[in-house]
Amino acid sequence: MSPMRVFSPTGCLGYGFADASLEAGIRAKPDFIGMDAGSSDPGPAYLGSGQSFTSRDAVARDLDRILPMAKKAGIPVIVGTAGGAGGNPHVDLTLDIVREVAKKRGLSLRVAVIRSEFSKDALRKAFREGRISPLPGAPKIDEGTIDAATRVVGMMGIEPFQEALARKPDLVLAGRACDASIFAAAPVTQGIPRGIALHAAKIIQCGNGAVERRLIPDGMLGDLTKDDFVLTPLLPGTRCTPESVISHSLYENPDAYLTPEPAGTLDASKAWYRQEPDGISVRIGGSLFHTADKYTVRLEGVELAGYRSLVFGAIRDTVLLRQLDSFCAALKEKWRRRVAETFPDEKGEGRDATHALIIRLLGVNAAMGEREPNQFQGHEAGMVLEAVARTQERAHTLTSIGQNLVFHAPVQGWSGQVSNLAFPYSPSVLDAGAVYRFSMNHIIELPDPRAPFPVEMVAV
Amino acid sequence: MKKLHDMATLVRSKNAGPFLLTLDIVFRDRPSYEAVVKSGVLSAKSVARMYGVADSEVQFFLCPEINAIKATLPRAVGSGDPLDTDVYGAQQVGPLMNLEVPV
Repeated sequence: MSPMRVFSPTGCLGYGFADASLEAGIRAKPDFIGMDAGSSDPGPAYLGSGQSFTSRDAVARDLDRILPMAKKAGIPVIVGTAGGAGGNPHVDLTLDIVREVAKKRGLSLRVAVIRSEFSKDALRKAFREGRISPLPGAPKIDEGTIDAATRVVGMMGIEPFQEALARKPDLVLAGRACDASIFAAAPVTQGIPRGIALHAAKIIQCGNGAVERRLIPDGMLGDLTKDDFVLTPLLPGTRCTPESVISHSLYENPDAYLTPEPAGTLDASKAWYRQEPDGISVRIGGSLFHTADKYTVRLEGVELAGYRSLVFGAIRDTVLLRQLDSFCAALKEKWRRRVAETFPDEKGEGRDATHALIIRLLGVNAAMGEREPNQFQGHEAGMVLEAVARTQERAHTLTSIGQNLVFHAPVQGWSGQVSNLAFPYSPSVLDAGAVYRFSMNHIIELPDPRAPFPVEMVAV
Repeated sequence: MKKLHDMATLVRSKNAGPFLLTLDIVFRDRPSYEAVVKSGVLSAKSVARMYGVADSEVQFFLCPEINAIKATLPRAVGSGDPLDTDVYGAQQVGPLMNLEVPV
């Protein structure tokens, strides 16, 4: 079995890299280039709306540099979770950018497109067969949850990538994928043990994220053999150390050592990490893989929660600041009542609520909400009143009602007409668009790891 | 007494998926790590109390090879939910940083 060299130019397609690092990475003659292009971290809005959290121009900039060089070098480029969230609109958006770049550079490319959206019929069937179960913290679901979902994607394992790569494409453009699948598929096909392949993949999918001090998003090389792998950052002046690599493995993972993957669990609890003589690379081995009885992929689903409008103001009245809690409680009650009187069709509470009225206090507990243990101390607080409702227009109206009430709401200790907030903006009520929520974060048992992720060859 | 943030090079909170929050503390050196572990001020129980969740909902890890402690717990609501306060779970570190450690 021959070793394999893997190149990850950046932690996320669209986040950029130094051109010199890309050139150095290509000069090192990697077997392929991999790139993660998304995450659920920016929240449910992107999967719901079909938009990307990465900017079109930035993605085009990265692809414009990478695609011509990869084509010239004759190596495939593998992109996972295209368009930030991996749904069909996200894949199409990225394919569009690829077409634009190919045209500009006079490239003709064989693109293997792998989709990852699950149909409601397939989900209902799996649910009835008891093949869908919640991950820790996920909400309870029923068939109504599936019906109400705006979009549901599955995080593909390595198998769809292996199938796509067997067709010798210039580019694999995949929907929602496990980060590690993007980089582990080719090594596993080549015979590298899954423990090594997935552990290397899990680290390198972040580009140079595992270096000691990440100066800018940039690239990393991985050299994999059947026994171990070596990580080498490409940006001069940066280095990996055993500590930096282990510390990075804690990031965004619930478990310090175990990572669930579709076919089983990556186990880094017995892994060893050694600094290489060059002082910038780290050699890692001892990574294990435990095959599971059942093949499962993670489902991510979102539903529309409504439309948001908000108004922001600052409070500088020290008398008011001393009674924020009671002031907000009274305001909320008055706001709730006024909305109910104005719109008999609105319902603010319960499972069938049609709107939510929210008061946030910046400088008080804006970051932690009810988990904030500290009492307010300070000379100023920010206040956001927001409404989430069935239409943007209604959300705007409900927020305006709140604004009118808060501005002149009575403050204990003052008499006469008060004006309680400094509004920095005119117009003050801002419409913030559709709001989604994650409604599914489950695993689905799959009899066939490839079936839900069809591979389609597209000539660009 | 020392504050936890004075003994660490990293105190971080971040989403681990849309419904979990994970806390990572990397200590300055082995003595700082050991002082905290030995004091018992940081445990699944203390994290549960700090964040208002049940003890059984907290996963707790000691990572002696890098002098780190990790804990994972449920978010108050899902990331980006209308009632969420922190989409990335990036600023849930306040009470943790200010934890008093007897040294």
